[in-house]
Amino acid sequence: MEKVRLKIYGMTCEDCKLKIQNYLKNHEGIINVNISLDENSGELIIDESKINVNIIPNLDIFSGKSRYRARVIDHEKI
Amino acid sequence: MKKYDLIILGGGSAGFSAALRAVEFGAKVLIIEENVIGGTCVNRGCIPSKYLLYASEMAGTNNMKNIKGIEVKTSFNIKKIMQQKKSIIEKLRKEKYENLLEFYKNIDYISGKGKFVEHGIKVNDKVYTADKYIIATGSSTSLPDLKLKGLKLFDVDDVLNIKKIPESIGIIGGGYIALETAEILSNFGSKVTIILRGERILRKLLDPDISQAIEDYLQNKGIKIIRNAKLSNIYKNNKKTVELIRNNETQTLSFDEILIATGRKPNIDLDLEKMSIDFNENGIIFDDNLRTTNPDVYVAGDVTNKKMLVTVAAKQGTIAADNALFGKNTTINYDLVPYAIYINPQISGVGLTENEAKKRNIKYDVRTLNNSILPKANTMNMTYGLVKMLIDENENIIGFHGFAPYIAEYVTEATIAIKFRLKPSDLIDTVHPYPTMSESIKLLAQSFYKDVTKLSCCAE
Repeated sequence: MEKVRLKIYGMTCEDCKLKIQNYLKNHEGIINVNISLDENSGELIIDESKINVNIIPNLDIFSGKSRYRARVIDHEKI
Repeated sequence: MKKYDLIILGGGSAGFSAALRAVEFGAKVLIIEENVIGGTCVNRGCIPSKYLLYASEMAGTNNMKNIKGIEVKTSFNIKKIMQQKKSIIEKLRKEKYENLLEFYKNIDYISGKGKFVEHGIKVNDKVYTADKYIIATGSSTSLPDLKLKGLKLFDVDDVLNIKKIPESIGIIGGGYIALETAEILSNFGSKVTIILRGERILRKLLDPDISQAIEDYLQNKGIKIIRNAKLSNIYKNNKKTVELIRNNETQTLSFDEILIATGRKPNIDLDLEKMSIDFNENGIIFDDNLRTTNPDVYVAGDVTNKKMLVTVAAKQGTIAADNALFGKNTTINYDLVPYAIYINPQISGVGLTENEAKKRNIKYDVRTLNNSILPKANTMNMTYGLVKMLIDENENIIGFHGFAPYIAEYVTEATIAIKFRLKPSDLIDTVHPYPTMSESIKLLAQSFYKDVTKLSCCAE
């Protein structure tokens, strides 16, 4: 498993936070999600055998016409 | 001290494009610009040069020779022309740049020369830091390695701010700036001589047949072209004199003014080493994602020393912001960037030339069409020039280039054809408006399969 810290752009309200949180929670390979609206950040626990950390900024919720973007700050094995 | 998500060095098209992408998703951005806001395009490039090309075309009588029975006598006041140019620049600079700073509250702007320090950028004696940085400092005229002893030569900025049209001008260089300047000054009445180091104009950009057609047109217009000339000296006597070596012989030519248009170089006097950003004689080193050797620093615009076009600059700005801030790994396909040079007729194209296809060992087939067979060109009696199209082994269109009236307006059709891997048959099957210059794209496509000089209007 890996712990991934994200910088998240584009969140303006609690709804944004929940939208991102729900999307990530339901994504294969993402085990736990903790999003901070105040700090524009997120902490994920992922199963790296099911999802590559570099895929995360390119998920639909952070791409194309979505209002949100994310960047991986760092990640470590746990 | 306020910490930013992104600091951008340079407030031109690349810098603003990056800033706009960043603030679209709530990032906090600082732009630092040394010169006037807006960069080269609006202040010292596309906008003033295109205005002067149009103004000079209106002022000159050269281009009305095509219609018989019309006699035009023009006169012009260069001071008034320059005043109008200034107000057009000011209007566009305000609408496209200054107003954006008021509208986008997440963009801060500082006027001053920014340089890297160990963990940030110092400007006006203050240090600013950010998570990521984009260098978008543009380019400036590259001068030849000659001792000029205080002799003032023209660069493109001097032409764009000209106060008096010189009786004669020697233009050193055969690129797009040389050509557009030659057109402007020739239209305004200067005797223009283009001095080339190589054999032909636009040597790096175009195939020889298109260069030849352009040279024929320029010479017909009274512009002299000198080839294979090595510049050995420039000095002042009663005029300004260039000393050239051609075929081992020295030749001197005197002009009222001399324009240096031998290229542009990236602006990288930024103390790059302070943040471990590597560079060499060609400029900053970066990868396909526009990332420098410091993973927190990206580049965009002319400073990349790639195709120096505002379209590329803006695209690179967006991509640099996406990659720097938003974890993307986007790249640019430079083959899909059309170029345009706005002499009249225009020069434009996209994709591979024959020269480039050969260099890459790509097997191709090519067709060339003289504009004289186009009904639209005939209705304007502007039948000079040519267009050409390249296809690869799979019959996918891979290149379109030409010298033709208004070609920059319809090169986009070829760009889309190349981008979406269309074949000539796709274009033939598409009804084109008639009579238009853009019909040449359909006729080129048809010419891969039949003799288009033996077709009635619009026939397939």
